[in-house]
Amino acid sequence: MASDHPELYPPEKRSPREKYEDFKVRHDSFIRETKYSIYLFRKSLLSLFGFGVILAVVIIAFLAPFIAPYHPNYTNVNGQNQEFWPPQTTGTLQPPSGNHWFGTDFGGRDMYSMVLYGAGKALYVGILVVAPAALIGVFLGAIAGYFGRVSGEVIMRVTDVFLSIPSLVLAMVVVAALGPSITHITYAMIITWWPWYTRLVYGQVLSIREKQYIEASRSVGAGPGRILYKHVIKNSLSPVIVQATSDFGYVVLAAAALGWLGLGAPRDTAEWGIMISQNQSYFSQAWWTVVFPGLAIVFTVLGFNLLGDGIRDVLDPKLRR
Amino acid sequence: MPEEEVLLRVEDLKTYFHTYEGVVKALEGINIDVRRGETMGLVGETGCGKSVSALTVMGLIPIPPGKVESGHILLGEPSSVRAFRLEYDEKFKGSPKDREKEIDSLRKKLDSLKEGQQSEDAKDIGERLAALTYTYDLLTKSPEELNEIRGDRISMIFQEPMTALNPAYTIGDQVGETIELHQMEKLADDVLKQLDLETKALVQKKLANKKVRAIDTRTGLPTSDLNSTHTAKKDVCSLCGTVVRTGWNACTGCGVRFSSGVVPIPIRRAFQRIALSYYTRLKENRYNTWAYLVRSNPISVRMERRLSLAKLIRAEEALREVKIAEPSRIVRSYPFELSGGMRQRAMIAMMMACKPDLLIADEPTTALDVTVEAQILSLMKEMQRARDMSILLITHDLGVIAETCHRVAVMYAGYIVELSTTEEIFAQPMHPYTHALLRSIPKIGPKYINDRKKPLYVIPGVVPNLLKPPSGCRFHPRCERALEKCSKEVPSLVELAPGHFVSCHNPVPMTKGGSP
Repeated sequence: MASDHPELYPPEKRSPREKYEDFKVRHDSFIRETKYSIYLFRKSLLSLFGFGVILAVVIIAFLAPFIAPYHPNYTNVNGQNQEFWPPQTTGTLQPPSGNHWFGTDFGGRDMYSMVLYGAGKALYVGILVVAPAALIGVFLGAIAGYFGRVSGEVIMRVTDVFLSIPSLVLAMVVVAALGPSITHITYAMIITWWPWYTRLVYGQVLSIREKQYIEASRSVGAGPGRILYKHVIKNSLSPVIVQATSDFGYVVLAAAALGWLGLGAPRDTAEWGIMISQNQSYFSQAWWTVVFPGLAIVFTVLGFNLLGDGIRDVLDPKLRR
Repeated sequence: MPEEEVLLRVEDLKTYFHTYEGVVKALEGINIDVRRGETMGLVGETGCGKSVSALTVMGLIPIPPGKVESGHILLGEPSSVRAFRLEYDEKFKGSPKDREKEIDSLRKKLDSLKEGQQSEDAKDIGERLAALTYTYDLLTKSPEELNEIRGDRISMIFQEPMTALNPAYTIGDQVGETIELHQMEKLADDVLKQLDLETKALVQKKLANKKVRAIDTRTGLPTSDLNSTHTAKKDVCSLCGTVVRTGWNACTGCGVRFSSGVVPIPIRRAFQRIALSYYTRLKENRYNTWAYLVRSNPISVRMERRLSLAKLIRAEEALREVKIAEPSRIVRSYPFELSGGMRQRAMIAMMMACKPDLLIADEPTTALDVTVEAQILSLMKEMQRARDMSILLITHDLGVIAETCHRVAVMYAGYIVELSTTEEIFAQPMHPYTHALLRSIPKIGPKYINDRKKPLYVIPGVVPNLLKPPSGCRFHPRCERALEKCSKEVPSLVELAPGHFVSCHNPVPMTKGGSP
């Protein structure tokens, strides 16, 4: 009977070892699955590399204020910090040295500090774009796919309209209208990004709603809301996770592109795209001003892509068994 | 033959599918009645409308393209209501306005009756109203009402246990879903019982604790003989003296929970008061807004955990009832970890968790091998006997029918062509289609050893495309006994022998003890 079931009265005052043993027995399936997932992920060196790079980027983003030797917006003139704008004429475009590992840019700012601070900006834009876009996409896609008919048609045609406009152009229009700022970049990119998720989830839901377990769930009396939330969305989420991970990289790239076009953050922001754009005319004299932020972009995008591949290996049911 | 209690009565059910190419007439007015505690078999070739009938009864036909054109699916209709219904149907044929007038007048009559008075009258009017408005008809129910019925009173087992379980959830989650949907009250009650004991202990400040005593392990009684090999030091409840299993924090004897001493008693009491009111509300009304808000609030996870534990425990019980090995492990495992037979058992547990009146089994054993098939069938039989449940068993395997069913309905292209007891069908098939079906079973055994070189009997042709069904009797193009009349007139279902209904112009003549 339920009244004397050991789980309603979980044993108290057990040693950690006992607790661990109990957990191991009861959650055997979960543990085995997780172990297998980790094994699948570790099998591929590239995804491990991607994971390492992303881990490093995240750590740098959080620790930038502590590990950066200079403030990103201050110039260093004769050993004294000055506000960056207007640009100084001394101490600019110094090659990499012990004082400035990545050299200084045209305004005399320390490139190393700027690249470190740029990681935070990139991740910030990535999260603020990918998470809302995925949320909107999953929500609309699931509704369009599951309920179909008029709502599906309307949602998917609107999606098609958004997809038919080149995303960078659309983003440029939005940023130009709202004015340059990091927040406005994220708005612009959410608008260009959600249709991809909608379409992805729509396709998933179309196949999942015909599955027999959906019918079985209906036959025990589950309503459409419950089925959609519990059964359909949960099963259609794995490609979204994979897509979102690689999209993180593309968002960083797109944000850099917008920044390079002068439509991104304000000019004194330590953002990789803006750094390249501001320094590109000095490329022939000072290669370091462009190469280091460029490398940062390349590694971050590559890292996210490899991580996405690794997650796909883990989540793909065909590869699993 | 005395009229037994009919649980499900399907009357003149027509289901059409309106597709681009035309109207697919999947069901053409079928009549089935399933009695309480009976197994009704539904046989036929693929595409005869067996599954469509099951899905129509469940209300799971995709609309559009599907549409139920006419008919009634009556679940648990009392015979008195049925009599009224037949009477009214006859009376108001083709005059729906009169019918509505009658409903209005009866409603007024019912309103004029005072409560508690003339209960016989009220009952009579209630039955008449139920008959007029088809209260027992599943086709008149709204989707929400159907959701209440599905899983609780009717359940369905699917053919493929591999695909009918959601790969993303554990077995316990899925079996528990049925319970959560229909028996929230019971779950809340389970939790309340526990809370009650705990609160009592808290209110009386009788927080028991464990004491170490010397116990004789053979008798479980306290002993003073400390030197015996059977004496062990065990934890004993300080309130009732029951020996507590090592590691438990509650007494199995009096149910008191031992104090951990970390959280102060007033705070624990406050928590329990909140939990108590929450579960009481949930027990009274599972749609309670307050309870819903609490449930959807992440802060109340502590309470929800009790509920989900109770759910898991109920699921474990349901799994134990279907005789799965190690139910406590299976509740936490995922469908892919189980074999086909185990999955089908889990499926049955999911569908039986709320003790439905009617179980629809759509080819439950087709995907299983023979030994597992036998186990599953005997399990279904056993559960049926224990719960007085009816089963509508859909299969194309006549062996399964012979093994389990009390009565059989043979379907062909949207019609019921023969309906009788299992013994009669096998001993004396009257419809040529049934006859042919029985002839086409491969025979095994030493008696037939000389027949093995002979080709197996097959019914010539295939089941017709229901977009353009043959005229008259739909079986006539394939029938050996077809007459000229057969291509013109649709035969009606006639009782040729007691309890033996056949729809054929030229039935196979009765022979004495003749089996095909």
